[in-house]
Amino acid sequence: MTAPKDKPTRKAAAAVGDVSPIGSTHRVASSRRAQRSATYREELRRIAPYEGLARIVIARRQTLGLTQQELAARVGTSHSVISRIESGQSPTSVTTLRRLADAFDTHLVVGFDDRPDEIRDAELVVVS
Amino acid sequence: MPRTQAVYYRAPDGSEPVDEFIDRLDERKQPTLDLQIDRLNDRPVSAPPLPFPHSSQVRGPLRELRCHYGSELYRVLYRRSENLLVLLHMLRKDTGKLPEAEIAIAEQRWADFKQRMDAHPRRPPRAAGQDAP
Repeated sequence: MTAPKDKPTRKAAAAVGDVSPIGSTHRVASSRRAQRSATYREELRRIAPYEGLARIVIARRQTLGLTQQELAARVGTSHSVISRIESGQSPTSVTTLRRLADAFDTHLVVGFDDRPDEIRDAELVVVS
Repeated sequence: MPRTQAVYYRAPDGSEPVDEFIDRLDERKQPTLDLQIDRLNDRPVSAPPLPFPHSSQVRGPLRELRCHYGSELYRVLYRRSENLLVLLHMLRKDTGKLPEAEIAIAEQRWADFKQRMDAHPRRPPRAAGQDAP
């Protein structure tokens, strides 16, 4: 494991007692972890779509002012199904997605993205 | 409208405890937790915090981000300073209630953060430049 680039500078600053209490941004630190580990990158790529869906569901639910239980009742499913979707770690069936769309009073859109990998990968980190 | 940015609390010795906590975890677990923490980013400052069960109030302005990897539960204790969400402490949670000692660590770090910020007011990191996604 290689030391992050800014650590020596930080240590030098610590020696003269002039260290900002504001550390690295979480985004920069996450990219650093992705850069140094292929395992990290593979796993990130695997879960990114689930995380994307989780964020959409959380945001919609919050806008409607619903608890997970209330959303589950609206969808006609169990609390654990909603909880699992919002955890962003496992797949969701298209049937469930369609029922979610109904509960949100909207339409489900499904598609493929033909843009090059580099562009898609850049966006994986900032799914929202 | 300013948007939130999650940053690590940095101790006087230059260490960043939350960053180090994540670095020590298995590399397969890190992306999941990193993405869950990333949910704190880019929210309008005036918007309500992430809804329960993803975040909740611990004590006063101290909040917790409730993360998990499968059945392993983790907590990130944080506080807001203008648009910055300062990640103070991260722990694996096994017991029912958040131990008082863990809350005390976060509160102590916040007191240190506040004191050093007041002593040397600094500009928060820019949203553009090297922090840009």
